[in-house]
Amino acid sequence: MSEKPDTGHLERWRLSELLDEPGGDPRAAAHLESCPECRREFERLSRIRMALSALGELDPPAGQWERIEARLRTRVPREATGARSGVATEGGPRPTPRGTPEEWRLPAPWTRWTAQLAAAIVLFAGGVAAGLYVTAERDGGSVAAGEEEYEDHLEALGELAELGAPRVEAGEGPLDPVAAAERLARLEALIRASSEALERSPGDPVANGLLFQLVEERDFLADRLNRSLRLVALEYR
Amino acid sequence: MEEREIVERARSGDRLAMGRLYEAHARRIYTVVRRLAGDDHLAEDLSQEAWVRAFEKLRSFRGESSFGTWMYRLATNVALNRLRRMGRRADLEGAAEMVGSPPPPTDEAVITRRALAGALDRLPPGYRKVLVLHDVEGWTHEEIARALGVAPGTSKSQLHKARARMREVLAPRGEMTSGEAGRDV
Repeated sequence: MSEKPDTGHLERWRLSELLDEPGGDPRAAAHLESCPECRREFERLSRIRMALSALGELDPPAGQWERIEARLRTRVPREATGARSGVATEGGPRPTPRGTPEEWRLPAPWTRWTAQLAAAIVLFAGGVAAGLYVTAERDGGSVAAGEEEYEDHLEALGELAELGAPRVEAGEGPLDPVAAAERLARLEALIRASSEALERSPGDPVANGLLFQLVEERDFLADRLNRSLRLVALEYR
Repeated sequence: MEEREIVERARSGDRLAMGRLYEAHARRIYTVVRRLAGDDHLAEDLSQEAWVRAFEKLRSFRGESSFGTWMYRLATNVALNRLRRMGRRADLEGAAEMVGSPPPPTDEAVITRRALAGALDRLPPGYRKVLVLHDVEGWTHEEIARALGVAPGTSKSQLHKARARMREVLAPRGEMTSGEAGRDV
């Protein structure tokens, strides 16, 4: 019998064991008969165990069947492929990501991105101007030099705007930086969502394929944007 | 219509038949998954995954047991596998800390279902799995050991610890849980 030597009481694990094997340790069982404290503890454990075994059933969340059905519907139907019904075929139809590189290179509405870029230019120029004039005053130096740098900055931003002018050419056309940045943000969000979906179903061919395409498009876009900005920086120098 | 016939129809892609199977067993499946997961969101995700897999794998169901038994085993496997992937550190010998705020103390004679379920959800995942499978679902230690890939002795040891934790959490109002009787080793 397992007793704590200094207390003479049964250890909790021993009491728990007695729950499952009442006849397993006659000495422990006998101690239980004679010790009110251990008996009270044993009864408490017993009540918890009985309550656990009596825990009722739970209702599944509302609408669960509809969600399951929706997932089953994304599997290739038997009639379409002759495959087993309800079974996803390997390399089955993959959802086309929103927009291919060709699509987003289509001309963006001038009004939208022009207004956005104009706002950015105003804010940026204002900040530059404030910084330059403060510096000029602090230095007691050339306000004229600050103005020239300010105009250079405006010219660089204008060139960025020129990059946004659409040209319909496969792969190497000029880039709308605002639209590209928006597109990149959307792709990142989609990549995060796909990664989470893959964590739940690592072998899912649809999720795998989608993530691959999303990452590919994001990298392609980021690369083009980087090259465009480098070109502007070189010309600005 | 007998369940066997419904299963056959479901096997051939009959969505209505699938729906009937779902209706018949959804509560049971969700319950065991929810108790294992300890979390509503995870339980929803796991039970959904279990059902989708079940209908995909229906051809492998040979009818040696009832559909409900087969589905139950599949669902528990899905849940246990995911829990295993999610937290090796929090697994069997893992997290010592209970999760979340403690449930209110209970009265001596009454252990409410709410307090019990809350205490269960707060157990470290390793303890919760064994306690749910043994005390709630009625599995033997041999079955638990096979499912979790451990020795039966480990399952027993974890069960005792889990019960001790539950005992502490559900201590009656005003009771000192560090009393002499039933102290942990």
